[in-house]
Amino acid sequence: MRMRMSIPAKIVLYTFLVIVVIITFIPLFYTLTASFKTNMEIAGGGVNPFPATFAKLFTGDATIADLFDNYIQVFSGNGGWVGTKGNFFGYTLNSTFVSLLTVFFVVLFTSMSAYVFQRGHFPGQKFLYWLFLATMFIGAGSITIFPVLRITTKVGINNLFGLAIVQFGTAGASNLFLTMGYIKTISTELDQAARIDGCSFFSTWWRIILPLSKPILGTIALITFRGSWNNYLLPSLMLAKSQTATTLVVAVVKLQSMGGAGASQYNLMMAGTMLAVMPMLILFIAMNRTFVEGITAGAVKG
Amino acid sequence: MAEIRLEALKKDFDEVHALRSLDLVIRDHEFMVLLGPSGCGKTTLLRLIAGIEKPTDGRVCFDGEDMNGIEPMHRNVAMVFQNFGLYPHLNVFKNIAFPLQSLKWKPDAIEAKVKETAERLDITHILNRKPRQLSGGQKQRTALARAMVRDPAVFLFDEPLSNLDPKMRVEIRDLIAELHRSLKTTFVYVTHDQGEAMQLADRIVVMEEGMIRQIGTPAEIYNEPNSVYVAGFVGNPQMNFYAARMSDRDGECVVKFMGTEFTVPKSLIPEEQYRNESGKKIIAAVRPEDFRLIPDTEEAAKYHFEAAVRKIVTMGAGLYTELEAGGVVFTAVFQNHTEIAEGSTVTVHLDPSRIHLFDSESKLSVRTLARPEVTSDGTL
Repeated sequence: MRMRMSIPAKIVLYTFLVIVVIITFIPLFYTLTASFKTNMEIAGGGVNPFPATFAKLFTGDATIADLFDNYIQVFSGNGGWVGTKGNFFGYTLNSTFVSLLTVFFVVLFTSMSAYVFQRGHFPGQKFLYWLFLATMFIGAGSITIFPVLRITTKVGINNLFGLAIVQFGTAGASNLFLTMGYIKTISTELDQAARIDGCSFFSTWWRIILPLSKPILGTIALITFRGSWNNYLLPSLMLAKSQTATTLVVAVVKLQSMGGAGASQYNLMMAGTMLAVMPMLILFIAMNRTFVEGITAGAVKG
Repeated sequence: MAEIRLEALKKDFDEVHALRSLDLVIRDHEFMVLLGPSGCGKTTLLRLIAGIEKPTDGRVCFDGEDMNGIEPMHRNVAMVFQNFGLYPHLNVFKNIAFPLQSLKWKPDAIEAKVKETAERLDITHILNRKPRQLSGGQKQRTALARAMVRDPAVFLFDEPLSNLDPKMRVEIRDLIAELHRSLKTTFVYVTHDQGEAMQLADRIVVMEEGMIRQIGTPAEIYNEPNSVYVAGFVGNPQMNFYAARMSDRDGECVVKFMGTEFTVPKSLIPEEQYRNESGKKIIAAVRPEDFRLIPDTEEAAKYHFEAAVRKIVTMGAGLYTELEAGGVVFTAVFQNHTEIAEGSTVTVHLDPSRIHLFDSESKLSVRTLARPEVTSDGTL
């Protein structure tokens, strides 16, 4: 239902929203313009949002290639640090691989475990359920990072695959509860119909529950993908020894400390940041509707 | 084709006894309706037959074979649900094809069979639609098609009409009756609607609190209810119950209620009962349509009494009236267009053979008390 509002109330509301939008967009806008500037321009400060190259384009003193110089550098291998190459194309592939793998694990096992908890009956079910719940109250990240690193080092999975495994393992129980809530809204009549129509407990999940929980799983996939894509702490530690097999976000930060001659190459960082942010931005704009529907579908019976 | 035999079947849900040791034989090709209010265990019974629930104790046998531990699919049963139970993510074709895919049929065989079934139920034009694009009637037709498609030995229906609008209810009800005639398989149908039960059933099982109250043909259930419970549950408007007194008068049984004495036929009550218990209280019951109005012009017959008309409701085919006689208020149904006015007094006749008599303590029919126990398959 659409809310009816008086005009003054609308003005207040929209003013507030516009301010929020501006505050949210300023850093993004700054990053975008800075990614076209030279390092000297950024270091020099000032309020001019437009890069000097931008004006030169019109006078003919610069080409389009000059404008995208920072981007070309981070891709061509010169955007890096002494001795190695800043291969942003490779980093993008790494990030994509890790994120997709994490999403695959999370979605598969969240759906399976939510189904078993919601529809199954087995000894120890309550205990396991509370165990899952308990994990929600233990702050993952900083507290668990040391034991996690010890384990991954011992097992020898300090690589992209291991990263996906750990990210899936620490994904948290909230996904489980969201999915359980969603499965609860699916009539058990369907389970019964499926059993009479020849489905086992497993094939009922595969043929009925899994396809029907697509909206909530889509939302979880999006959240998980974003989390994995933007994750910094864990990959930076797990992949510390490797310079080539690192993720996009980690690589961007590396541009700061490992910049040539010790100086931070902010211009390249900004270009790298834009590259790291763009895919998520596009994904979210495209999937906006699914995302919101999924969240609300879990909360309200559809 | 299957005869279903339930032996000492019990089902407990934690502390709740859904079914208490129930014996029943559903004959091959029979249309058996399980009738009762919600919570009487009729749906649980259906699920036990289907194999969705496991019995706490007792056996479900199909043609003498114990079905315990046999998965629903291998029991060769099909079920139609109250909320249709269609898979929302699949279109009508795939919904109907679903059980055949489980049986690993070949795709072209599935297609042929689905088309044949859809044609029979007149739903070929909606095969590509998703369930949410269907009307209630189309949904239930699709559910029927999915049930029929693998030629099951037993059809189970769990209140299939309760989510349909009245017009569609009649259409689907007639369709189910037609299918029973042509498919010649065993139908077990759960409902709380006595009208549906009467119209569809070969035999009705009236249930209450996990127990069977009476088994019989619709006519038997209606004309010879074995207890106050069955008498009150079946029939609309409800049967009238009166606190009456019976006495033995020269070897005849006389029952007095509404200030009138009725000499009831000996077939209604065993002689030794009214002889031994003369003067005892008894429950007399009369169906509202068994009262007859005597016009002023006609000479009053025996067994008539004066009644005040308190209220009249026109219900299409009949006039539902609330009458009062001898300080007792009761319902009577007369033919439409009967000349009768609220506030007037009418003369009402009651044929004593239409009176039902129940023991005031056990609430069972005095007729049944004299008879042998009802056996598991409903025969006497």
